[in-house]
Amino acid sequence: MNKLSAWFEERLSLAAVSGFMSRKPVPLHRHTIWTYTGSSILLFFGIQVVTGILLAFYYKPTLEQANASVARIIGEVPLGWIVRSVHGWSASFMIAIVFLHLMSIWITKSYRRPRELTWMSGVALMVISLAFGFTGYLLPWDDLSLSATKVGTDIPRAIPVIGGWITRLLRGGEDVTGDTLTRFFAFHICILPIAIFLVLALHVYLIQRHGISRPLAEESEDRKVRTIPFWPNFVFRESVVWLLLFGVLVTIALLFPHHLGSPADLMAPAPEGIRPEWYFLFLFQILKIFPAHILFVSGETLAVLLILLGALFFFCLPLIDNRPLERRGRVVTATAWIFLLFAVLMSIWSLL
Amino acid sequence: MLGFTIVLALSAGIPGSVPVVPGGGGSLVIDRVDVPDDAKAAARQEPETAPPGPADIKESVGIWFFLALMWSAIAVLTAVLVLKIKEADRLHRLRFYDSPRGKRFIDP
Repeated sequence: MNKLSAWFEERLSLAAVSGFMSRKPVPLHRHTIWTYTGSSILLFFGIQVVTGILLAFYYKPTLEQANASVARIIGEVPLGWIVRSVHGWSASFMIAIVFLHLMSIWITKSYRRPRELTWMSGVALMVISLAFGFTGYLLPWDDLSLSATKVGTDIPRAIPVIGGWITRLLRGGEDVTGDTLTRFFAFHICILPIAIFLVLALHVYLIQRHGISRPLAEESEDRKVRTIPFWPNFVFRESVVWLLLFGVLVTIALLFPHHLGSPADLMAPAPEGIRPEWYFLFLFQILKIFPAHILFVSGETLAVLLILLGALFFFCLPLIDNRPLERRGRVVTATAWIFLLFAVLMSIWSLL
Repeated sequence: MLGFTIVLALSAGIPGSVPVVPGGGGSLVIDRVDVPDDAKAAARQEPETAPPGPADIKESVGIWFFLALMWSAIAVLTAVLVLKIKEADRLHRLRFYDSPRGKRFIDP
């Protein structure tokens, strides 16, 4: 055994990695709980990758076979319904924790100098995660997913000048067709995974470069804060969180499996109750409440531009709030809470 | 430049390949792949599969048994990990990892 480990050690130098991890300090303070959200995203991402590969063995991204292949996964493939349910639920869990992670950074203002790029890469990761959710929603090719995708891909059309081009880029033509399905599948399993791995690599590098953030007061005064080594102390703590989250995910996936609607019909009228996934509900509601026209401008165009402006503010937050660490930034904190309240209320309103 | 060209090509779609359905309204289209009508009709039928979930009572009981087993395992592992955390924290407080023996523990 010693010879075997020595053989691997000579080739891989894993001791250097464990040595680096043990020297990496993790600060312990009242906000440490939020540190676990970052690594918990990785757990769900890993589950997504594994279950996604399993589903790809049986899924067929064509107009004729997409829905039938998902029905086969659910009904005939051994444990197929469990794999699909875990895939769907872990996507929701992942996006929920991504939101939680970003909100915690926003409220604690950990994005301030020198972590601006860490925040921006994190926002990019959130956008990619949402894109995963959006493209994955169409893949079962049922009536609800088709209609929701028609609505979703039509939204960029409201953007002046480039809107129509973006819609065509997403759909692979003027309308949602079988080409859209194969295109979304390619985005879902090729383009987005490559994008997420690249941005994730940058994000993790930046976290290693600048270290895990500490509360503002402690960081600004360079006060000595209690730390624990990443390995083994933090890894053991994180393992407990991962175990519990994994248990909750599997329990929910088994007790509330994802259903499959009837096959999509391109000629059929839109069914009742078209609704996107829960993480798009507040955006959907914003678009719904805008009137058709405000003065001489289309209400939808205004709503989309407002959403894009909000997204730009979110992305550039570290550049807007670039004050010294010792400033508490009460306005920024209040903005974060107002946004959270607004998003929750709009989502609830959309469900009513 | 290559990326931009690819994006442009993607956005263009396949010109002329998406036929408009006669009388179906300008925005209604069918897929460009030539598929026999009966195959399309078959694809549009309700799936003849059972809804997702346990197929019979045996599988249902199996799932509850699995959940009980999984949560028992999680409880045991959590208890073990809590002990390991306490031990690791104690060693950290004693600066064990800075000692030559502790360094060997981390860098075997």
